[in-house]
Amino acid sequence: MEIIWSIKMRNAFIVEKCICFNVCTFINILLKEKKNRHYMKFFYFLIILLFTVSFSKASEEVNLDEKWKTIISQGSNKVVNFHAWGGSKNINNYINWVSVKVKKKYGINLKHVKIKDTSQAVKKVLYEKLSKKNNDGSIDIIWINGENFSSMLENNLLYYKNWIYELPNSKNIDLRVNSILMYDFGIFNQGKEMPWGLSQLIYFYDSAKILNPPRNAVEFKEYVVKNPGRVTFPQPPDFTGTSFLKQILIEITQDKQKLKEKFNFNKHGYILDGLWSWLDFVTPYLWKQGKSYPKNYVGLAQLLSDDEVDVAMSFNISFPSNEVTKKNLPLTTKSYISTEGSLSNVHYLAIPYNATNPSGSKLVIDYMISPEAQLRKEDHKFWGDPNVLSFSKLEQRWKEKFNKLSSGPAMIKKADLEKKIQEPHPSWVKEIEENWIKRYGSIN
Amino acid sequence: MKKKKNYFISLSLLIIILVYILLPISTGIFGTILPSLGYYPNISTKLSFEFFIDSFETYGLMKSAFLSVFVGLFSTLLSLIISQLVLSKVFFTKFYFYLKKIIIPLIAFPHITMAVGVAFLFASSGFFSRIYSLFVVGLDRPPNSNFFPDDFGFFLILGLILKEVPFFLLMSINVLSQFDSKKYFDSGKILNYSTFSSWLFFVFPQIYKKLRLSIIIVLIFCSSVVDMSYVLAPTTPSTLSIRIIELYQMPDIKNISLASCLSIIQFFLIIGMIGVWLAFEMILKNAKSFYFCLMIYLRNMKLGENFLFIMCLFIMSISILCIFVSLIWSMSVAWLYPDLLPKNITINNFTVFLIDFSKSFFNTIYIGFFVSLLSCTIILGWLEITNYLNFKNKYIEFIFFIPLIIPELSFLLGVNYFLIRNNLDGNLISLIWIETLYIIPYTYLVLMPAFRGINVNFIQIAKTYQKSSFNIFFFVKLPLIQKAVFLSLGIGFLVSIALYTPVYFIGDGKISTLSLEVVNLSFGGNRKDLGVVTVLQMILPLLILSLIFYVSKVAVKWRF
Repeated sequence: MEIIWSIKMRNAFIVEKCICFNVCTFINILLKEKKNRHYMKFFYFLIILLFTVSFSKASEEVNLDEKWKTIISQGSNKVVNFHAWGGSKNINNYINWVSVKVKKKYGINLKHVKIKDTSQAVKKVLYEKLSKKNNDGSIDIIWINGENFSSMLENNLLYYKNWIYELPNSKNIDLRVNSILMYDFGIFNQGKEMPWGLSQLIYFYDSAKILNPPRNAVEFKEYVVKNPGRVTFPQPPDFTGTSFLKQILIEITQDKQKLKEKFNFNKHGYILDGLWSWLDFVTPYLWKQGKSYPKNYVGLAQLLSDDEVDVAMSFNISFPSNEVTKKNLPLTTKSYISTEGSLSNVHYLAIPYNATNPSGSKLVIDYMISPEAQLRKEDHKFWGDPNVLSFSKLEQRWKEKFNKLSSGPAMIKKADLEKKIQEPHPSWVKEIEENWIKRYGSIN
Repeated sequence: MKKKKNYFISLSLLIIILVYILLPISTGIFGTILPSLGYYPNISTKLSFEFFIDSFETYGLMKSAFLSVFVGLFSTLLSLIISQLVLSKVFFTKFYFYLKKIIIPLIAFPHITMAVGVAFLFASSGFFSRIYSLFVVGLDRPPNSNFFPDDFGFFLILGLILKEVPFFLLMSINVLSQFDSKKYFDSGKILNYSTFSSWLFFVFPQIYKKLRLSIIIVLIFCSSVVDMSYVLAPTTPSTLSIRIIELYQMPDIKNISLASCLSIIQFFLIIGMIGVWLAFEMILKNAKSFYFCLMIYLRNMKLGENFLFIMCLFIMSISILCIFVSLIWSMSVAWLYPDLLPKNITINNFTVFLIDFSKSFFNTIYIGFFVSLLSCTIILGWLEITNYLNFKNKYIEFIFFIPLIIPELSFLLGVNYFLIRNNLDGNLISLIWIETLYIIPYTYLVLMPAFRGINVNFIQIAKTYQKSSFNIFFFVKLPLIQKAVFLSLGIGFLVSIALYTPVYFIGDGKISTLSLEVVNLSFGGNRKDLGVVTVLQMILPLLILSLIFYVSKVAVKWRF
């Protein structure tokens, strides 16, 4: 259908071009013959203006607007299945709020399918492709990034290229090709997923008990020797645990540019050896001599509140502050990032290729990147996830509202978050995880 | 003519019941075997064994497998010994009455609550560590020791023992009530054997044959348990079941194949374990001289056996401590490390339940309700129809036990694969279907003796009144076995509450129950919440049981 439509459009365009060309030559002939040039010049200008305006710019805008209108009419009053990790109460409540809003705005029934792991949703789309369910898939939106995204990209499981530019609210986001937001763990996302929020690896500790927490890979090494058993990380392949290893890898690697390349054992094996020697040194001094690890970052935070470890970490910068409000961590909790800058990445919303209601997904995603929704997301009382909007593109009233947001009790300062380091290429993740399991995860 | 028609209807109903049970199992098995051979419709249809070869190279596979086997064999053996020791000391005394009272609530507690309780007690910031800190000066931080979880899974074994001993006790009591065990016991006593020896050598051989099926079920369960391993097993590496689940979660076709291969390897491993168990049984049976030596050697170890008995009581009292500690956590305000008890107690923590867990709570209740009702109906239907057709075949009824005898992962992976492919995952109906498979064996065990034991004379009398078989079933047979029906409903409910793996694989994250919440919270997350959910999961079975007992009493009164 689409191909036929585009051919039709192209034909129409050619015809118009021809007409334009013919008219111009006709006028030229007229101009040559007639002597009243001024009058005809104006006429000439007018016609060209009319044609260019009507056929190039105006037609496009009208087209986009109409396209959006058809999306609204197609997507409204339907069910949209949003598969998103459901492990956090705050995030679930936020998504619930979004669903109330889109119900009001478009009559869309947004269903939050709380999955335990994003890979579940990816696997599901993969299975649906195996059984040739190509246009009535069960997932309409996935909350995704990193290796799950690259896995979907490789298997062609995503909605078509550049759909993100169709959404009206995308004008507030920097979606140029060279923008950081367009690179998911260093992979160009081809306009197949919409940025939703930012994550950054932060550490936190109880300032009443520790004065100088370790602030980079070298300090971690010294710290564990002085305080054996007081540091640990979630067990890889847990997301946060692997990210911590990546952070260390980046800090101790000299040639950081190499990490952006696809992993190749002959070329990059020696870089990983640095990480393994760091871990070989540190592991015996870890919590429980590195024989057991917490299962995830929430478990690590529990160890911090039990005073079993000194430092905990999270990819959700508002997590410590939320825990303080819930009285699970003491008021003296403080967060900080590595002196070398900390690992940061973007999390996205994507539409599977076989979504039943892609127009509905677009409507919901458009709402989720609106200033209103992003403002509430950034508020630490609700979630505390940084927005993805470009500040300069926002209207004045929204700018003011964003500036008014207060900071939570254990919240890291915005200025401190400036030091960001980019994720290595996703191919490194598997390598790190597998080798970690081989070296430290199956030693007993 | 009418009789012939009835005959066909009842026969087709029987076949429907068989299909109901066998269809998911065969789907599951095929859904596990095909991916393990690399067969994926629409992608690759070439069969090969390369994934099996690859799966042997999984890091730490041998250690995980060893852990599973070790835990399975030891927890089964120890629970069997402990249960027999306790019985030998208690069965012929007045304490037997109390024992019977304690067993039922102990059985009713879901496995996972015991695991959480053990973790609450033994973790480095746990209750025992707090007691330890009273004696060691200056210990204001939890000790950094590898005590829990240990490398060999002893705590997993402990947790399993706490749950399986009551199960063995109940099963043994059930068998013991069928014959005059006192006679055998006394003959041992007369020959001057000590209490346990006369039990072991005179009574136990009589009941062993009937216990064998339960032993095998426990063996399979212990070596493939998922939810308890999450909480109690060591993590570097974990047990085989958890390795399989972790592999299966990764979004890659290759990992699905590897996980399927590993689950098939697990299946054969468990078959091997059963083989080893049965081989030992054969050796003991045939090596008579060895057996007699053992008898003579062990005939009089009063001191040793009393010591062992006290040890057993200690171990079993841990389960009471587990309940106690979960209760404290669920009501604590702030329970920081060196404090033996929390400073303040509140019941506000339970409001969390209203906000966050009410959905899981009610899911648990209505799934349990439907599942127990459905499996009760199926078994009653089966019993009535086989009775009507005069159809008795022991081997066919063995089908009911298949779901307990196949390790759950090796068929649930396949069911999950099938469901996702057909977009049926997270579907309540498929969950209820699969859960009934796990409940039918227990329902059958409760209902079968009661139904087959109905006095034929009552039915003859009813028949002389020319009542239809429909009427006889509802107005004569059902009231006669009313107690068993209520009991089977209750047990179905209890089993359903405790199920974790089927909900995990069939619900696929979309349907949540209390046991799922407990496991999720035990990964991390608030201990108070964990305490609340654990306590809820302990209270729920007790509530259901008391409700069942109350209803069955009231129903008896109303009938007359």
